[in-house]
Amino acid sequence: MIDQIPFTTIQATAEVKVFIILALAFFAAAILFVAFILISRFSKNNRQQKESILRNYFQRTLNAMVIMETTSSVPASSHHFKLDTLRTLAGQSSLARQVMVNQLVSVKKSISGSSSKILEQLYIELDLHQYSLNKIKRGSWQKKAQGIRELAELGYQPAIDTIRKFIVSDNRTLREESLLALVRLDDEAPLSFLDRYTGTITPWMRINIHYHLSKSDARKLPHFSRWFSSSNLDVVLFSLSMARQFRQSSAIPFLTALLSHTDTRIAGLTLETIAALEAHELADEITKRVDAFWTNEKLSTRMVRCLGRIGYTSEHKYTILRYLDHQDYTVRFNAVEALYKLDDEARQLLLDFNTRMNGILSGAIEHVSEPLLQ
Amino acid sequence: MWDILYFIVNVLIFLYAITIAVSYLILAAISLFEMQAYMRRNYFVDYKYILSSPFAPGISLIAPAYNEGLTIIDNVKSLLSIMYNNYEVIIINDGSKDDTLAKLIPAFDLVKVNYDLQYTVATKPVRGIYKSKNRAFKKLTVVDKENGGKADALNVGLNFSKKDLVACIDVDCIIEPDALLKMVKPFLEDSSVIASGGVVRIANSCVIEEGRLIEIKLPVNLIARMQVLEYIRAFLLGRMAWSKLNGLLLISGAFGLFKRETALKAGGYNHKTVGEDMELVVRMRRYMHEQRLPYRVAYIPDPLCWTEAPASAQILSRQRNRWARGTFETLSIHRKLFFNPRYGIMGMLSYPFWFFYEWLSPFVEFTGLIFFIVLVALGKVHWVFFLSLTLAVYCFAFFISMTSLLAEETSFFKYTAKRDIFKMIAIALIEPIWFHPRVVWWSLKGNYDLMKGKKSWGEMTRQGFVQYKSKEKVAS
Repeated sequence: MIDQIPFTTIQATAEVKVFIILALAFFAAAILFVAFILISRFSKNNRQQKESILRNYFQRTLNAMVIMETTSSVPASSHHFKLDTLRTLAGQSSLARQVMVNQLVSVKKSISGSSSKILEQLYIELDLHQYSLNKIKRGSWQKKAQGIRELAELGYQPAIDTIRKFIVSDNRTLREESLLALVRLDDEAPLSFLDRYTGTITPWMRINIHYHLSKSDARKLPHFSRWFSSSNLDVVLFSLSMARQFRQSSAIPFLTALLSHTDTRIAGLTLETIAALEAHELADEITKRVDAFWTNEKLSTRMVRCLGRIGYTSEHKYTILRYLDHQDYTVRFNAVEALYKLDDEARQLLLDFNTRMNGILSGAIEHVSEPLLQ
Repeated sequence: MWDILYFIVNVLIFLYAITIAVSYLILAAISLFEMQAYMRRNYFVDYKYILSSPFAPGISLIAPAYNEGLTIIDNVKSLLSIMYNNYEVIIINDGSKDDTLAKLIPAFDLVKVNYDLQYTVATKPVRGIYKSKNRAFKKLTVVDKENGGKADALNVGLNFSKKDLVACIDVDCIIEPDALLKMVKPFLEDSSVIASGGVVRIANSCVIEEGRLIEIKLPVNLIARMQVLEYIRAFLLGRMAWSKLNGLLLISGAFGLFKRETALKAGGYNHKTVGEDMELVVRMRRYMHEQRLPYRVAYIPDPLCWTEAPASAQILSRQRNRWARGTFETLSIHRKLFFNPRYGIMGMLSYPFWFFYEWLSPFVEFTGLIFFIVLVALGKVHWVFFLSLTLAVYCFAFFISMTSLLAEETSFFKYTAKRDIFKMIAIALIEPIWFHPRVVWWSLKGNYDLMKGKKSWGEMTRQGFVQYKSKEKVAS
């Protein structure tokens, strides 16, 4: 029967051999994966158990030490004894050191004030900062980033110069971690890196930096307007958004120039910042730019919103009124909302316009007057 | 003549098998590599920064509801408790024939409001828009409209939304509390991202309490359990790799996040296909290509959404029938992409892959089977050759399934019970001979139904999740 098919017996046998080898190879690889999965489960469980024991022990000692430090009646010898015990434990394995660092970081996130300082002190006394610094010196990018994170979390300021080297790293995560660490550790000039920064600042980084800045003393924040003229557009966008968020009215005089910026993202964010800072003195400047903004729907929307917040003269209101004729619905709707909410005079202008136009804006007016949609 | 035909068919099927196997191996390797890279990158991420940030982009959660009266209240409560600050929930009642709307109104203290809705994308008329008088439900909007299907309902949501991003979800899915935080991150890291999708997992037999996943379990039902392995394979091995190659064509309709502006510019969801989720992604990508704008479709391997999989062959057949029709409709609408270098990876790689290895594969498998039966009848089968080939294919299928389990084990490790791993191995051994042939058959039937002009979704009856409280009651 085999001879009847076009393949010769020799060919068929060779193919059969190939198939059987392939089948065996795939099956063996699959079994290898199964074995890996089982070993991985075993080692994961094992590690988790060890971690759990270490964590519990360390947490108990840590609690006792924090309480001791805040209670003057406990003798210093007791503190030294516990410290020595932990040092011995930390010396035993890197797992123990890592558990200790993780636990310090975790506890520090939930406390503040003098207790937080005790944890930072313990980090140094147990030589764990050296453990983190070693990661930066010798590890993979992931280890380096981990070390930087630990040093930042536990406020180890002498590491600033070591960390600064990584802000130009090719690895994105490492670069981001080092920027964030500098923001957290450098009390005097947390954003000094922006002076010469040529990289990108993504919205993700903006969120992270804002989070850490919002935790610091607002009086120590830099004047973000100093970066408004940066050649790096990302730096300008970042500083504008921070000036808006931290309500730095000192930035207002510098915003006029940015209204004419060629990058529409910057011009748009400037309009938002002016509105948020309620810079009424810039309303005339904005009104002058109607023609420049008209063809851009996004800028027009932001402009009417902005004037709706800061406009006060009839000219400002008539400027918004012009936008009721805009070709884009979103712009028209925002103009309706701006006029409706600005003041009685502006609202009357809107209603008169609507009457003249046979109620073309009635739907939008009903919408903006609906209390449940505010 | 016979010999020539025999040779050609043999060679074609053989080439097809070789290329598909090589493709899967390459995709699996890329996925494993990318998965590890993702895990390493995200080790440092603290999502709570997004939660409290004024810079977090606004998200509209759009959830169409059709005859969901039984579970709608719990589902909406679940959506309202998602961890994200700047978001709204838009429930689109798509002309339900049951008491969906009647239940929502008193439960959330809803009243009709005057909303100036613009039909940017044409849809069936909206009958009313409802907001809650209770400030606790400020994020909720219910839109009542005439029935027009899921795509139509989603388009109403796109028209209604004023946020930058829209998350289109199935209202009966269980969304992980931090799902939006994770899904939004790619948009924050890269301004060219136009859509992001996450992993959908199967929630059958899992314990759910008030719309929250309490305990993860492997489904007891065999058909649902088969789908667990199938989903892990598709989501962890396939889509992860396509995302890396920027060739992802499908974001699951159960949960996807899109840039609203791009979705609207691309024309919104297509009413004329039952595969509206894939069609939208392809159209958005096509739009970006044609506008010569840089873009990326991102993918998150974290399990973010849990859904109830069909637990009976009858319901599963309807789902697969619909998927087959949806795939062909999308490929047919966008046939211009086929090996078109103008569309880059999408035209040269993703589309041909979907065409040859997703849509065409049931036909090839079926043709192969028919050919084999003919050969048996003619006594022309070389049995040793046949058995060795079958063994190689079977072992390859088992190997790919184990690779996906390995990806799961080294990443999110959701099925933690020791016996689960053995159950999954057993499933991987049974699936190619018990489950896969049925899937092939349902796909063929789907294509046949499409030729006959079938357009409906097919009724998807669900059994409902195991409710923790009801379980407790039963136990006591």
